[in-house]
Amino acid sequence: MEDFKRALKLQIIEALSLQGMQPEEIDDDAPLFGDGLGLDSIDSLEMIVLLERNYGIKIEDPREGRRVFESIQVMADYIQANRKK
Amino acid sequence: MDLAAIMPASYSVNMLSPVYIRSARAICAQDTFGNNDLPGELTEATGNSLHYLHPDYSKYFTIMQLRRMSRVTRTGLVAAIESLADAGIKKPEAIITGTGKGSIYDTEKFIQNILEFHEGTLNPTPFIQSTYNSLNGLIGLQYGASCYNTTYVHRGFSLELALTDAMMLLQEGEIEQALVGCFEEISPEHYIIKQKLGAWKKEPVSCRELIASKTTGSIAGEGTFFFVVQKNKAGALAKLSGLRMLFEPTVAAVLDELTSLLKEHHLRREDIDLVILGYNGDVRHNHYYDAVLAASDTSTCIQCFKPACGEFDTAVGFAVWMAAWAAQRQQVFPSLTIRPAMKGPIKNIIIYNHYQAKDHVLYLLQQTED
Amino acid sequence: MRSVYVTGMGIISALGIGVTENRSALLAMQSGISHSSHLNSLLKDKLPAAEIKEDTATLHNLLRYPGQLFPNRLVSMAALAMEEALGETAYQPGMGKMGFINATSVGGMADVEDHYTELVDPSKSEAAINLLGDTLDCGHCTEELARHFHLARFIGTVSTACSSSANALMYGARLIRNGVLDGAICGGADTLTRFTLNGFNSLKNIDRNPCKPFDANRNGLNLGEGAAYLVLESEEMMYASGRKPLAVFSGFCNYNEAFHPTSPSPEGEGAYRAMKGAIEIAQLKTSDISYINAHGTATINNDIAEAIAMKKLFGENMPAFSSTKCYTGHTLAAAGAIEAIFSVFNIRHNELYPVLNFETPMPEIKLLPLTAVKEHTSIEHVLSNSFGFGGNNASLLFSKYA
Repeated sequence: MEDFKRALKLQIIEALSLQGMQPEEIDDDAPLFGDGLGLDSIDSLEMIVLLERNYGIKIEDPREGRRVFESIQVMADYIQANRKK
Repeated sequence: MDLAAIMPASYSVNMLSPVYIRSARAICAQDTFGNNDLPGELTEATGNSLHYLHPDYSKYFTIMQLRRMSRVTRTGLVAAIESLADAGIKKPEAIITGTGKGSIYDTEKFIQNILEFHEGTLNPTPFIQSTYNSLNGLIGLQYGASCYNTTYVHRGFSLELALTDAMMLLQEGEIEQALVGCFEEISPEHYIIKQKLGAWKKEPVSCRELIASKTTGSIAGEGTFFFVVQKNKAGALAKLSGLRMLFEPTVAAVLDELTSLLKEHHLRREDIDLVILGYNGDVRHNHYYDAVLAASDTSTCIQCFKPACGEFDTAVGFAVWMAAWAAQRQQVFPSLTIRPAMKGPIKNIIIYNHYQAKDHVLYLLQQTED
Repeated sequence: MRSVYVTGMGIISALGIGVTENRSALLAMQSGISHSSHLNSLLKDKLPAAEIKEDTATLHNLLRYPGQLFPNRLVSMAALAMEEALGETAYQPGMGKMGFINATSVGGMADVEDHYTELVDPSKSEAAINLLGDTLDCGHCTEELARHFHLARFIGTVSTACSSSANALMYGARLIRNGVLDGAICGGADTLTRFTLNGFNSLKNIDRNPCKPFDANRNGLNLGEGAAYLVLESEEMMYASGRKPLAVFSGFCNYNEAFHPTSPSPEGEGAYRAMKGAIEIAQLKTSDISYINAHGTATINNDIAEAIAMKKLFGENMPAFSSTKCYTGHTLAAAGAIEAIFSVFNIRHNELYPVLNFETPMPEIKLLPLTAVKEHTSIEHVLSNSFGFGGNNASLLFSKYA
């Protein structure tokens, strides 16, 4: 799981063009949106693309996306439970 | 119907009050950004293109900011930041830009994504950034500047439409200063599109020999130019006294407009100290510049600018930057001289440029009066 | 400052070609939103849109004088609207300086995107395709029209996403008020494209059903296509041209709220300030406003932010409001001009057009849009809102010619 979370962080860094950010800088349990990493609605849409391309998970409603992207931990658990590839 | 009887006699058009250029910044292929100057030796084009010499963006932006910034929004925002800093302005009162192509890389990327992923779930960022006013939005966000904000996208008139807008805003009296800029980039794909339209030279050409070239086409370029314009002259580099746009005019019409511009400002042709011409080495369109050159007084200094920045929709931004500094420093860039000056101070400057012989513009810039 | 009058209008949208067809559809509450047939997109059966019924060749052939106009969809649409706006008037130099301010968000993309791969392939070079490369520029359509309609004295193109033609109208009006021009034809045009359909779909704000402006269960916008131009003239030029005033273009405001690249602020600060600014320029009071043609895209964020802004500005004296995007779809850069023309309809005919598909009021705020056609009602001053990406808010105000 630790390796998976690190891989996921690298994917997020790439998908969101967070050039220069290291996976260690993203806390597993910190909120990705708002006061944590500071992501917003556009990032949420970018991560929906990431989930579909990398894991075959389709999310149609952006509001559902925001629940899944609460933190790296929540996201990793969700992907493990729902991944199609 | 006697129109003269209906139109009020006192009514006069085309009379926007002059504005002052408080600061000017340029980012292009040459090292113009660091010292706001042009080094003696021009950087050569590669493959008939002059590409950006990029500033170090990391010192301006955080990772979180950079994630939303495409190539040309970075140059744009950095040029805007330094222009405002030079002018000592914490928040612009209006943000107005002009661009022919906007963020062309993002437009291309989104077109490619649509094809590659068969209109499936697509990354929204290139779509958002392809919007022509995305840089304007980012500048507004950077400064928390809730104000007038607009973008003109008309090839060789883009910067002039933006400057005209700023001149009107200052005349309307609501604001004291405005941030005005233009930006452009060239991508490999867009180079090909333009190549098929005959825009570029088929043979490799050195920048130094561009103007003397005897073939069709020019060399591609890109550039970002930002200015703070203001109502009063305090600390200004130069005064922007007049601006004219002509669409597909004859040579005679260009010369008439030049005459009327000078007359309006009570200037004779021998009063013009510097003429900056948009020569781009394309033999099809040189005759316009030749005519303005021939109409200039023999004592007037004649310069060009496209050997430095290449040809693109808003290349004239380079000439405006150059003219503002010429008025301020009382110096011209020797590497861009076509005919040296025979006389003293640089008080009155004419810029004449056209884009693809369609969009013609004339500027009158003047030394700020004491 | 000089007054600015609307003396001509021309429009093409999914509701039809010309002002008469458009007004009839609005009065009959007939929407132009359905499934598109000309658009070359895999999404066209999934995502409804408001497409102009005619194909490009038909549109081009409908022109009275096609002349040398480039026969792509954008230019053909725009030229049809322009022919109607100009009518029989030939502007003579003695009448004053006439300008042309156009707006578009993606230029000739509709025709370019189908040939893009070939356009950027250096090994391929077919003259007809190569020429399309020039149409990607937003200025291309403007220059085609300027040349064809002899409007070359002062031309320009605006692109501020969904508020583009509202800003074009504002620029034209200000050029007249400042004495740079005596008249200006202003408006905008955008076609449906795969580019924009996929773009808005990537933002997940396209409704799979006809849109529901200001409804609690709204779920996004539908795209549309169209072109619209208004002839603006100073009083002096109006006398010289002999055209009649249809309305006064009495106020306008552009206000960027600097909140987020694509989302409005939840309090609708930009919308509030834009509407307030337009009313102030016209030297009117909020109680003078008879009706608001809202931006009302039916996206989740826009409608609530816009409603909050209206409530804040008008308080208990809320004028009637609705959105006409449920008829024309969101025509992007053309929307501001199309809705400006609808505002002039409101004033000229003393009638208002309701929203369609409305069922449930938004729970957050007590504001009900107009849901039935209102006729024989006195309409004096109409606000028209257009808000775009980058926080770009524009509000226009049209008034009855006294």
